[in-house]
Amino acid sequence: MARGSVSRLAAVLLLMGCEHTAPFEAREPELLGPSNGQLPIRLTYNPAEDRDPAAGPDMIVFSRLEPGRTDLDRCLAFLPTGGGTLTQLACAGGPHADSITDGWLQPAVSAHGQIAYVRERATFPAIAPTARHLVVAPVAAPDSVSAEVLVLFQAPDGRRVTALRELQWSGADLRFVMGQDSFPRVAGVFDTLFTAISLAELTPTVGVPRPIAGTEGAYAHAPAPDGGIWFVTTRAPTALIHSAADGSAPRVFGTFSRPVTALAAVDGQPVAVLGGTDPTAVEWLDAAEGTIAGRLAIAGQGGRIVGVPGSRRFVLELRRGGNTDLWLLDLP
Amino acid sequence: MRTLAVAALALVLPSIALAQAGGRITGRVTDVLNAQPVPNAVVTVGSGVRGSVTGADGRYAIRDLAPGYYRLRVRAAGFRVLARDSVFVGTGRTTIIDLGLTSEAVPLPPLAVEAAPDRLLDPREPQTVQPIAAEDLRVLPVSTLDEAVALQTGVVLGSFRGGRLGQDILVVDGFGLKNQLDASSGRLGLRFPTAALQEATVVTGGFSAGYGQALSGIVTASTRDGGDRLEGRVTVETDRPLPEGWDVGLDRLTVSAAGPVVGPLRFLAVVDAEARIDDDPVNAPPPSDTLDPRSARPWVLPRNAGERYDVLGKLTLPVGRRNTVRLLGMASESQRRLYDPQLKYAPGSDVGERLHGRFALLHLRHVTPPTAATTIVADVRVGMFEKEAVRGPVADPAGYRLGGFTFSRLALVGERLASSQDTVAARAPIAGFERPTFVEGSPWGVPAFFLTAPPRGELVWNRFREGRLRVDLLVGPGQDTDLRAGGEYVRQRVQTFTRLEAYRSVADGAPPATGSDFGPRLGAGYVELQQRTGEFTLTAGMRLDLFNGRSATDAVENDTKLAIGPRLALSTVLGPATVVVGWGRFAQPPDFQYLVDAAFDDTLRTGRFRRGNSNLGFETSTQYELQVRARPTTGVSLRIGTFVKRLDGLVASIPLGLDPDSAIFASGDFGNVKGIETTLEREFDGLVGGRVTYVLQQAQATATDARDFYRRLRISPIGDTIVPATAQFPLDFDRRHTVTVVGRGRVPASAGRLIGGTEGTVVGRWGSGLPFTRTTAAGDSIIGLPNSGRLPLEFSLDVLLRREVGLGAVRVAAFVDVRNLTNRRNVVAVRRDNGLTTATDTQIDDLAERAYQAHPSPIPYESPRYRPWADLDGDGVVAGRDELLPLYLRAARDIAQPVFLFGPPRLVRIGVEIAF
Repeated sequence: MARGSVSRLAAVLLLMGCEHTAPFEAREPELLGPSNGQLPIRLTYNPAEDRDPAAGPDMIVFSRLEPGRTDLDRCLAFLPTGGGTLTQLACAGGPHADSITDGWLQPAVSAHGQIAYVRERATFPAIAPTARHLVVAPVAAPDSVSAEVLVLFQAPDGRRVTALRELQWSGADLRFVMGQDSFPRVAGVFDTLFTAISLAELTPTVGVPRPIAGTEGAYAHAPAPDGGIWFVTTRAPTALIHSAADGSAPRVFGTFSRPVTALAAVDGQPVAVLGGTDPTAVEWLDAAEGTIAGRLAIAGQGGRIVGVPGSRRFVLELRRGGNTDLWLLDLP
Repeated sequence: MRTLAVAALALVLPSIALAQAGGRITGRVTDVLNAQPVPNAVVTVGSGVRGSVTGADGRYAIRDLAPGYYRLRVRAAGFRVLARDSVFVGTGRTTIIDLGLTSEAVPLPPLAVEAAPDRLLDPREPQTVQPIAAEDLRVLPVSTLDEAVALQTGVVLGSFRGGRLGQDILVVDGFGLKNQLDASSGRLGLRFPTAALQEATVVTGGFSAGYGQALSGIVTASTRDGGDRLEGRVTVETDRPLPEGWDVGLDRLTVSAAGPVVGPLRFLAVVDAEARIDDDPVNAPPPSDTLDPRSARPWVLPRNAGERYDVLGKLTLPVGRRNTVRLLGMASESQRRLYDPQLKYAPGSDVGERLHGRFALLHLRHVTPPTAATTIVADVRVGMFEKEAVRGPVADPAGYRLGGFTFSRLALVGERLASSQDTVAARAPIAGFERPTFVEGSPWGVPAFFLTAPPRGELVWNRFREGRLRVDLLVGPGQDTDLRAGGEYVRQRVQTFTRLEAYRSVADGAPPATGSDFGPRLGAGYVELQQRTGEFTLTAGMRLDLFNGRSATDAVENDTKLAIGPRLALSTVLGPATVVVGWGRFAQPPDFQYLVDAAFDDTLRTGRFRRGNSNLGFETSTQYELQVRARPTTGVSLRIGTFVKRLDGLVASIPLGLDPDSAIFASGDFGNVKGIETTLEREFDGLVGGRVTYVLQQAQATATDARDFYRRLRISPIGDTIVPATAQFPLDFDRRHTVTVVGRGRVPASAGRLIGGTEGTVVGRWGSGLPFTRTTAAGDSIIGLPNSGRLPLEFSLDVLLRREVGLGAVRVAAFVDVRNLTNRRNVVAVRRDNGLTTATDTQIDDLAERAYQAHPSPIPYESPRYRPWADLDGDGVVAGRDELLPLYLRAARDIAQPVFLFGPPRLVRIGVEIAF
């Protein structure tokens, strides 16, 4: 073969070693950060409802009603701590327009990657759930249930416990307000009325609640920095009561200026949402003295409040103009 | 008188061309001194095992030769031995070699005078087979046998002479291979490696009584035997060096070797591996929206890769001088992902399919010695064929290792359950299937059109297996009579499984899984006589076919169906032309998919579910053909053929009651195909050659149960209720005009070292539009009769340039193969709702409006669907018609893009072939 032929053949073989053209790729749009960088930050703009916020070290979890969801299912939504695009949305399976309302409510995130929430199911449009469970699952897969407890207990005073509120982790245990739901008809519309009985703790793997002595009538609670519990009872809704970890008798730690509707611990300080005000008043006590240390007002009607671990920030559930959204604020 | 006889026969007898498994060499041996016939001369081929003795008229015939090149040798007492090399015998063709012997007593030079009559005009060659030699596959711009077949007259996209898909059969080394399960909608599963090919033929008219299971065409492929010395060939093809837009990720490697093993044992081995990153490239226009990811590179589709592996092995062992044993094995594995525009924004949610085919054949042949007065060739063939196909979501997206090659099996979700045919377990949602929801990650954000998982949730599996025993006997008393007889018996097993919407349970409303497992039986016997008398050649045959579906899905006892297929052909010389007339009746069992209850799409009518019918009968065709061959000038041939083909007993779906989603299969519909085929050819003389073919054809279907059409059509503005008994409309492959031009040339060596010896072939194809069916916007009813619309004409120009050089015993060739050189955007389908390739603005507006009305919910800032550029008032919510509808409009334009409505773009491959 002539030298020219060899060189042409070599050139062809060399060209055959090139790479192929890559096909186009459909890339996911980048996640958005918070809509503005200055506090207070509006975390959600959902025209439907976002409620029951809980905060972990790197996420905010809440119960969300997606816009346009005709079956009124509540899903668990996950946000970055500073806000932005949802990183996860976990819902009950099934079509969006079925006749079942699945509510995944009151999430609580543990430091060890677990999420607990109340899962209830009602036949639409009935308001009373036909089934209600306390569920524990990995944060990454809230539908992969690792423990499930039927919410139907016997309180020490003999009353039946049919509802849980204010779910929080306390180490490997769950702490919550146990009570009863009733569904009175007010002005022709059924409503849900929660009656608190007391605080209780529960080990998910055991599944039997342990009422906490001295917390009868407690309807809001938050962890105290000494390992104890701050709580407010229906008997004295302005008084913040402290129950020490050593089991000593609870005592009044401080007094808010108005009845408390929600309570949280923010950077070790008890912070309360006060009732009956619009704009909403958020008031906090000095963690050492129990005296009122500050107060801020924000337009709207406040709901649940939760502190962001390791910061002076807190997430507030705020109702404005018919929408319930979450806001991120901080203590001055 | 002879003219009258032929004319009368042409009126009475339909025309048919008969193809046979083997070729023949025939001719006359004469004394060159006085042109007198030489009787008792022994004419042999090859090593002398096959041959014939001349009769009193000096004529000889060597029958049933495998295609290939032979050395012809003749010896007779008192004459010098004469040999002729490189006599080519094609499948089913008669090669005529007249030989003149020189007397040993006369001191004349030993050069024999040959009188080779014009093969084109010789009436002893009644066949109209179209041969494809192995050499053709190298010089034509084709890379598979199917592509070479598609160049032949009367073949349109896998349809032979206007019939539907599946009316043909592939005959490999005399053994029929057919996907009897779903030939009309599926594939054979086997791909014949071109490197193993000795010769292929295409018969579009009729065919020998020896072959059944086909109505419209036969493709024969003969594998070559290993020779006395080791030879091999390695070919590498790719499009890697090409610029972006010309490169679809092709890589192909073909390796073949043949030669001696031990003693007389010979082998042939071929491996053919091919992969493409975009296995179904389309020449679709780029999208108009710059946010569409396809706008960057619209030519290569992602997640559309395919790879194929074909292996063939063959052993040939002569046993004594009269017997030969051949063992042939073939296996093909192919797998590919199926790009779905609905899943464009859901990476990892691919649908894939896998197909494999296996074939093993044991062939025993016995022949009489050349000196025998009566030639007898007996063949016994025993073979096994299996085809298995599975389609479903891809379970494990394997990474590519070399171009489109993964070198691993594509795992599909649920395939184990499917192959177990466990329809009870399949009532629950099948693990791994995801319920489709609207993706959040599209550029448009809105919940519309684009899904997270395959919407049909389809898991389809089927397996077709058969064992076949075939016996053929050829008896040749004298030189002018061939008598063939034989038969075959086939045991088959059909297994199917289909589950739709497998992401949800049957209790949740999903259709239940369907499955079947039954064992049909086929049997056939035939006898065929070919008699040559003077300028007449008469071929008459009779075939008897039996089949019993033995379907387990029907409580009714299955009857054995019977079909009788007579065939007749006559050829003679009329003036300057040779005329061939023929008639034949052919039958094939229906696709066995019609015997089972099935959930699938039907292209003509609505509905997903059909009730199987185990009592379906044979589909039959009756064909009439008249062919005239002439030679206007030396080296130029003209063939004009006309045919009429009537298709009867075609499987049709008959609606049950008033529910359009429910039907039963029945035998009943029929069709008519008629056409004229004209071929003008200038034989390749070493420098230039070419062929022009024009086909004028009409293929019409007749539906005998037209209720279904007319119930949905208003046949009269005043509400006339008279429903005609039949409706006529074009068959799917009714291509009226087809022009094919093949030109071949070679640059003479005198042109210089640079281009001298370069070969080039140009193939131009022009075809008028195929029919299509219009439907309503909802797609659930047809507008007008089926196939009442026409696609635009198609044109393609393919070119192959090849340059070969020698390096001692090694020959190296480089080639460039360009398909669709002009990059014409051929329309291969249209939207059925408007007959166009694109949706109209009104349709897109309507699509967007309906999607918006279904999901008018605002999109808040934190939603992954939120797009800041769409939030015109910057209030953190994309809400209201002004902000949402533009997103739906852009999404609608995206999903309405015509991708698969266009044929392939310009495709180029560069190859190097090394042969030793």
